[in-house]
Amino acid sequence: MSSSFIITLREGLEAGLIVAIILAYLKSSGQRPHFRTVLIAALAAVAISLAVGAAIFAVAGEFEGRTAEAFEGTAMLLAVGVLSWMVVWMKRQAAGIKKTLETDVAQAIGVGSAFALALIPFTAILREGLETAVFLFAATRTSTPLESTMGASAGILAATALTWGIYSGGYRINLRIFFNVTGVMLIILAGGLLVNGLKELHEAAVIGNLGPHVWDTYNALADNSQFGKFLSTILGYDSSPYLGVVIAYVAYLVLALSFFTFGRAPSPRAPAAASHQAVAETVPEPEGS
Amino acid sequence: MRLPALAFLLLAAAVLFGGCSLTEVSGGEEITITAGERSDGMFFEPSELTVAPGARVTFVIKNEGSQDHEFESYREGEAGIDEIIIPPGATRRVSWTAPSEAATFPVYCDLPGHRAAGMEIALKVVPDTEER
Repeated sequence: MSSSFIITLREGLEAGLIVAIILAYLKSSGQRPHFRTVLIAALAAVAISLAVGAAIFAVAGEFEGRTAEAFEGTAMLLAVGVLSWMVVWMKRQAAGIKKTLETDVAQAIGVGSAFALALIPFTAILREGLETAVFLFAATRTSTPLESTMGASAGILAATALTWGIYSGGYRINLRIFFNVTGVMLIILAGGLLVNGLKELHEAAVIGNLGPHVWDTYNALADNSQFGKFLSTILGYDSSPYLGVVIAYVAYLVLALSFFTFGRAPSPRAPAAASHQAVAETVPEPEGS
Repeated sequence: MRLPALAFLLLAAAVLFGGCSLTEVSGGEEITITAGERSDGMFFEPSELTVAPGARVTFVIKNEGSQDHEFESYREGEAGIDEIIIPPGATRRVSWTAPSEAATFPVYCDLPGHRAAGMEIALKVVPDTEER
């Protein structure tokens, strides 16, 4: 449940902010009639994302045995790659995303093309939606359908409430802190997915040898106990991990967290100014201000 | 002490000292199963188990072989036992509640070639009135 919640909260808020930024710009520039175009495009992107998500689950349901394990393992590793890229990309883009979107929207309105305007929220939301579909599929491999559905629904509801609060101007959050905290959480989740993905591919005989088991903590914390299952879902806990999995997990976390923490966030502004301005820029101006 | 640190310590203490049921697998009658390899293939011993409808049991699986083995029965229409890997020399525990009606489920090792080599148990749910 926890991983599904974090995924949909983060992705939902990203998608919501994109729509909020565009609507706020249209409102402030007296272009309210274009609201409909933006909202229809956003809903179309959500509908396509849902269809792709349903297709992934349906295709996976057709597989059995080792083919299913290979499909699931591949999906988990794909999710790790996309998730890591997304977290780092968002950190690099967050500071200037409002200006980029506003420039694109102004250009689309300038040439009088509703299609060009619709394409901006459509592509942005579709990217978030497809990422969510892949992550949720990967995350649900290690939890029950009920837990995943509850977590994902709660995340979407929370993201919708936050987006509405931010758009209406009644609620301000420090988005830099929010994206930094959820970014680290997503990297840790991705580490767990990496472990589970490698194990699936090993069991499917796609990966031949992951080395010996390096330790056995089963008697202290069984990975099929209640708490063990929770840690397995979140962190990829394994009471007797293979050496290859341990090396891959540690290497991934060190690289991803280092890149996320120390990676340069390109911005035309000085770093000190950017850190404050990014928040003000990413949050739409309150109504009437 | 700051609140997050205190909360973490309380959680750790609860898990270590008070929450054993959260960290271990137990419940009901224990049924011991051995797994391993021999000259003519691979085995679970015994290869047939019988439990009463609705009974809660804990399978204690000992891997006496030199390779990894699995214990599972999770596909559609099977017992609903999630896969667990048993490293060589290790013991793993799996709790399971039998359905309320008579049935027979395969429980097997799904590692490549192991089930075909003989690693399958017939798990039978038989009412008390029938001969077990």
